[in-house]
Amino acid sequence: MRFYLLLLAVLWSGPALAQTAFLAKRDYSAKSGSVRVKMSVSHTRKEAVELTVRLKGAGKNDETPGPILVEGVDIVPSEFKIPPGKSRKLTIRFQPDVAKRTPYFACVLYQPLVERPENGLRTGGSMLLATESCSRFWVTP
Amino acid sequence: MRFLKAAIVLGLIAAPSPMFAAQSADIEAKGNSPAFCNISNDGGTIKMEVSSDFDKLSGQGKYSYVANGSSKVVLSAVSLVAPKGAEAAIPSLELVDLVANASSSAEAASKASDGAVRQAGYIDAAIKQDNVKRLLTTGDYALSATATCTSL
Repeated sequence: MRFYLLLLAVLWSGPALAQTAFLAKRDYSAKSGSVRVKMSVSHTRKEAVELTVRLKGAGKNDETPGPILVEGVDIVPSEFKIPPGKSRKLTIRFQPDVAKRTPYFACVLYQPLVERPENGLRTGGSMLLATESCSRFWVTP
Repeated sequence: MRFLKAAIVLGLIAAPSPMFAAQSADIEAKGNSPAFCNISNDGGTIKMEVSSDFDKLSGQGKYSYVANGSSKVVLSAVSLVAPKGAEAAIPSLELVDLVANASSSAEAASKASDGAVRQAGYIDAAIKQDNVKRLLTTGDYALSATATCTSL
């Protein structure tokens, strides 16, 4: 219940046009050989948008997401269109091979649509900034 | 008289009275707020206009960054698509007061926030000539990058 209250609060007062990923918990055990992460995703844009969910390992340090992990990773659903104000539950399953407590990152990416230049006759440019929200979680052996 | 005393004692014992009401009540309320962060480009595609000296393209957008706990923002390497045969140019992208990157091969990261953040600012995007002619070759240019916030 409190999870949905927080989600409602974020949707109500949060920034315009943002996507959010909530994790049910932040610590997981790999004792069974696999990890199952439950998360919920929402956004506050004006219309339905396509979001992509990705699992990442650690980058140059424990605070920075690194490469996208795909080997043995099952994300259901990994891409979906979602209207504003709704939340979508999803599950990430993977088989981590960890010898010590290791960080992972569950990320939701919004890629804005490419707008074609109005004309190609004069010098002009466009900047496309995709935005991604990640939540760090830890896996212990 | 004895009857009256007995009635008074009985009344004190049996009647509901504030004297016998509970003197304290244990009220316990607990909650937990899961961590999250948001980073958003509030304006969509940023259009860049050429400078009067034709040596730079620049444009501005807006971002917002919200987190309810420790978090940081990483800006990916900036990808530049230039017209075929174009003179050398350097792309740059800055989320003002947060993080900037002028590299097409390495990412840049903000400092981790100590606590909750609610910040809005401008996005400055630019492509600047980097050649002896001090000009950008005519044509269409495009920059792309990804801003990633991480809830720690």
